[in-house]
Amino acid sequence: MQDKRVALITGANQGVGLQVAKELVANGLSVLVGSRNFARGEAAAKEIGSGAIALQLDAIRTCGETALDGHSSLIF
Amino acid sequence: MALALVPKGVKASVMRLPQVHDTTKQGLVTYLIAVAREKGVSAYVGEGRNCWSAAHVLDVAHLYRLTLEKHEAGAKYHAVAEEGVAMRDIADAIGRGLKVRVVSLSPEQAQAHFGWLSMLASNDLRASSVQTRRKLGWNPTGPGLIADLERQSYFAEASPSASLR
Repeated sequence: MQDKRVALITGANQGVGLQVAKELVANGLSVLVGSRNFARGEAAAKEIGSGAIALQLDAIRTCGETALDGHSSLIF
Repeated sequence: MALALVPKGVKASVMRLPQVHDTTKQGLVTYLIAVAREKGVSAYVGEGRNCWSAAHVLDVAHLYRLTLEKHEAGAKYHAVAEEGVAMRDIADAIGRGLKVRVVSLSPEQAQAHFGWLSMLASNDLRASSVQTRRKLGWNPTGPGLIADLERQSYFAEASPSASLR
């Protein structure tokens, strides 16, 4: 079994998330670069270097849908 | 919310962020720049002595790593490098960058000028990171917010434009 540490970072294609991803990869972790837009995530992963893998992920939407699960009577 | 998971065995901790900056983005200050660009004047409220705290993005990234390595469940950290940068100094730096006048506004005028930002622009959002530094051995090295505002290119085509909404 691989014992390399893996981090999943949401919003890792820009700003704080991108810098954290770089910092962790530079310190030997593998990073899943979460991004709502896969192309931007891939570009960020390429910039970060080997050890970074792009992942399409909309954390807010997923959390929202999970929170709303079973509450279909809510009206927007 | 995240801390509610701690009793269930999740090693959750909370990072409170100030205005996180580099030379392209500076948190809410980016919106202050957008307002100043749109109105043609850079403003502060009253004497502009209310402050916002700030940290450079690389210092914040380093702090996140230290936090992950420490694994202290339930901890709250303040990613603050500069405890308080005066709004007057921020407005001055934006005025120099955009080459627009810098003015003081009354609280009533601030509402019309800043819109949704007026409350924040009037508030003192100072925070201390003494405990965070002590617990994690974090020593932010900057550069500071004003230094990044000085080095930002305000008229570059490629600079990200902040929409006011």
